[in-house]
Amino acid sequence: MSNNFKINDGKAIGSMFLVVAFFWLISYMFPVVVDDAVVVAATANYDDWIEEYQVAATSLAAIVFLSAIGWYGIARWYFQVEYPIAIDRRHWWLACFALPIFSYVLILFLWDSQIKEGQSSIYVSLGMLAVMGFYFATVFFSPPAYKYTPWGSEFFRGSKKLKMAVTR
Amino acid sequence: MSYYCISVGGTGAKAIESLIHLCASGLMPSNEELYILSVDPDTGNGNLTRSSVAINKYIAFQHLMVGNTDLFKTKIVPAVPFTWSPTDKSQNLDTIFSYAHMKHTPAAKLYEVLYTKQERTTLLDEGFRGHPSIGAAVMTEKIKLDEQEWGQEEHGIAEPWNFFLSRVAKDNQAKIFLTGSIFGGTGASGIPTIANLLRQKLKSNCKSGNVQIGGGLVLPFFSFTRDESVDNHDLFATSEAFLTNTQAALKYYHFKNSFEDIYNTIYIIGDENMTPVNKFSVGASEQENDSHIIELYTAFAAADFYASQSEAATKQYMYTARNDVNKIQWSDLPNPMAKQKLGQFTRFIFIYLHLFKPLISRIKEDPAMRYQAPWFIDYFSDINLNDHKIENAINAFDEYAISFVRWICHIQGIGKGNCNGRLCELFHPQIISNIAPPMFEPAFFPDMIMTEGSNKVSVNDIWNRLSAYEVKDPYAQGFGRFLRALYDCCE
Repeated sequence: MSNNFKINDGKAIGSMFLVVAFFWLISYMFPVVVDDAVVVAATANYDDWIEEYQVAATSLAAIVFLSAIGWYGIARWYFQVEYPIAIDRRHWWLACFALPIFSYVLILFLWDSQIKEGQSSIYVSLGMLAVMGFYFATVFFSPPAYKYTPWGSEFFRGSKKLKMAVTR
Repeated sequence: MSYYCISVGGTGAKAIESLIHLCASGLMPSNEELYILSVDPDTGNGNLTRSSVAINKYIAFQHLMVGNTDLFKTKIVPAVPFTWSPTDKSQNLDTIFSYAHMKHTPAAKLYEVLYTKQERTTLLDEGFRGHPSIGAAVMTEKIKLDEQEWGQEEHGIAEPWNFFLSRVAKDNQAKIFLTGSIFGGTGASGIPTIANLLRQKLKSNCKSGNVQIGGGLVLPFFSFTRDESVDNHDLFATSEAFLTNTQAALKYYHFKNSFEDIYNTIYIIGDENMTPVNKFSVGASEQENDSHIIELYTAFAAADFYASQSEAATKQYMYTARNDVNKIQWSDLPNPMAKQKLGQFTRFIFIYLHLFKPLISRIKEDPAMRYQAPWFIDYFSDINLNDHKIENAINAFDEYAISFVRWICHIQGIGKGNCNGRLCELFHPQIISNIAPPMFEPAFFPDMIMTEGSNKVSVNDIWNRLSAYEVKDPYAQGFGRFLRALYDCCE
């Protein structure tokens, strides 16, 4: 392939990592920065709780990142356009999106958080990581051939809108 | 500076079709305009119709703003009317020379000696029936380039010559290329006659070097057997006479050009294989033959003539031939850029018809699916596909693209298995699975340009490239910008 048309996959994947890391950092640091947002039950130790929470946030971030690069990988190397039919791949993107959402829901169900107050803010913090981490990573850095497949990406990457596509 | 091409007869018309495709693919030497005039008494002949359709489609979309690129870089200006016929309807030689009025005169007696009764009375609506002696007389009688005639519309004869001459006269460097067959009726009679008349008329311009005349003479390359249903008393061309006609014509050209220097450059193009024409036809719409590789060579001859610098001080005899008698390869084409430019253009046309044209139609019907085709959002957001002007330009381009595919198929011999008895190794023979409507085999896209080496581009590669590509040329706008992007991505 001519150098004029090289797609910089490393840069795109690195950028995805940074987006996920950004939301992970917000989520990870949230209870530390806003220290009165969460009050744990009297039976629980706050430091242990923080540790458990940060493990959950980091695991979720890893799943988000893996889902995002999974989407990138199949969109970049697995999908092939050869005929003017069956080119819709949004269901694949939704399937990849479902993975962090499902993991998030799983964390909510399985994790006995022992929070007395501020439970919803923790749920929002993790939810933001799962949803926004994947969404913005894929909206901005999906491979060019599927750059408008994520919902709303036309707004961010369309010709007249904010341009953050990594192409070379 | 402008280029001028005068096609004479059916073979000339077919060469024009090839020349249009070279113009579209950027194989003309510079961005100068190409003025095209066709000369044919058989204005309804199928070959001519096909060329004029290709020209009209090209004209309909050549205003598309593709920016500074080789794509469609040559602007084509057709003569008005595009085809000049030396004969009016239902005329024969007798009516043209007013034989009835000059009967029993010495001139009439000479005329009777020179032409048989059959030659004199046959209607010339369908051409000169392979008889250049008829054509030469008619052409000389009918082409009026004298000052007193110039500018006067006499029974429609003055145009398009009037416009043509006034345009050439104003041109500081006009290159006029005449092309046609040397062995039939119209081309054999028309090319020397018209070239001679032009040289006389433009004597001072030619001397000063402002006008150069080139000739692309096509030697016999097809044969046919006469249809039994054709009346034996009819006058028609016979392929048996082609070689004799050719021999006489070549002697004439040698003699004439040795003494009068009518042509600055002459290209003689021939083929040792005589392609059999399946359907015999005296003329008219039935005379529509498949395009032939020799016409591509003729178009390259025209491009070479236009590219050539001022007249050489000494006479030069250039020679080109194929490397392998059983094959036609890219290296056989007499233009080193042919493979790159014609290859890129063909890839562009094929993928447009195969993938992008159907998707544009579908998205036009159902705009909700536009996110599936990122190039559509990038390039069509500002285009109103329901606007009649845009719709017409797109339709014209679509029809041109289809005609280009048919032309490539004929040149390549797709559908026949070979190219007039030899292998044609320009494009992969299996890339096209159906000619009309054109259908392609995407699996062969990477190998479509034969013996290409490492530059293999699949349909998916072009999709990916186009999705990432941005045309930075500010002169590329609208649908033209999309075509430019697609063309660039097909390199």
